[in-house]
Amino acid sequence: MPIDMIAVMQTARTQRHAAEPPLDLQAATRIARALATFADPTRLRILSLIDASRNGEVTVREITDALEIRQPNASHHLKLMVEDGVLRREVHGRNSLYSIHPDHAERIRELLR
Amino acid sequence: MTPAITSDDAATRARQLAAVADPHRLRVLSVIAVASEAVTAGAVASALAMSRLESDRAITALVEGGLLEVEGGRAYTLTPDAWFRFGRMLDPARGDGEGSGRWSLPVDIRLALDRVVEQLTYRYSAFFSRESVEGFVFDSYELLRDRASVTQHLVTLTNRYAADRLAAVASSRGLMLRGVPELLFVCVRNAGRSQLAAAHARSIAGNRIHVRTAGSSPASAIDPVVAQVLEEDALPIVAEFPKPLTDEVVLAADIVITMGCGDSCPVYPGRRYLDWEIQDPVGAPIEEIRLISAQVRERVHQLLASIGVAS
Repeated sequence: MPIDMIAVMQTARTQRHAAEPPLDLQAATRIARALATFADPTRLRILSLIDASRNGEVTVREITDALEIRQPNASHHLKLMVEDGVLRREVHGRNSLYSIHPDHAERIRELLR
Repeated sequence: MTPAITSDDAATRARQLAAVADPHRLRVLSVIAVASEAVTAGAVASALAMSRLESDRAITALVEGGLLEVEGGRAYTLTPDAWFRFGRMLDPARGDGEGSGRWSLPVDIRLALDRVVEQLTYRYSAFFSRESVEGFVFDSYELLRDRASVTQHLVTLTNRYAADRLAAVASSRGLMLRGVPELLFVCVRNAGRSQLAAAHARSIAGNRIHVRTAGSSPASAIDPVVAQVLEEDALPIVAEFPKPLTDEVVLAADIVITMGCGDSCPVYPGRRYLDWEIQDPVGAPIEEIRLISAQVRERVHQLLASIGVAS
């Protein structure tokens, strides 16, 4: 970004109300925990893969093939993200389909772009 | 099926996220995000009732993660990246996406932004889909709007901001080579001379230039005899159909070469303008068009040599 654009954004900020309360500790802790879930290259790539997939859902097999990682590794990350509520898991017979929880979809796109 | 981000990219993002995934660092970032100017480490410490050691540590981690940058040696501001990826969550006043999205915008703004989307889609057509460009444009608008009390030039600013973001993303993904000159060949019908020039330029300089063409009053199709002459030289046609000369194409160009339509071409600062006297091949016999083509090739070669991209 050229310098003048940064200057414009900073001037714009100057015009906001001066004393806004910063993020409180409770909110910061909650957000930090959510971000920690994403702070891993494999998990980011899994999320990116799901986001780029046609139906927004993928199988473990598709993940191991596309990312060239081993199945236990993929399962570990998937389990963790399901527990954190980032991913949803749907069982179809012998397969599980993983998709991004709609509550997180927008934030994840923001982090992936 | 492949993920949209590469593994290198994922590693960089993960490092950035790890730098920010800590309550104290997030609070430091948020203090700096809502401040009216660059903030010193001392001011951060007192705003959050931290020790200087704690605030220094947090700031160092955020600088290393590419989220803060130093201004004037000792005060800190957010990097564009930090605004872009985390701005929304750092600013409690902004809320979380409620009432956002294009449909909450007034119709005149929406139309103006749609025009920006058109321009940028054209400019970045080699790298991004229209949908991606639209996402960047509307998001950039919201980010700028929420940080400004002046709304007068917001659309213009959005255009520049979104263009910068797109260029940055394209070059960071290796999609765009910085400094590849964009040449625009303009003639009257965009059916003969500009097509010849574009085809020769592409064959001489390949990917070291971007080539576009336009006409001040475009014909309905490329002159078939011109197409035949190009085919004889095994030169592919660069532009598939004659296009009108619009502000966008001129704005996107570094060098504008007009051939017989000088005055109708809008002039913008910062672009190099050349006017070539080349005979219009319309209705000319093929022998003559071959001569015109050779003449065009010679001039294109000189031009490309002058900017250091002729082989």
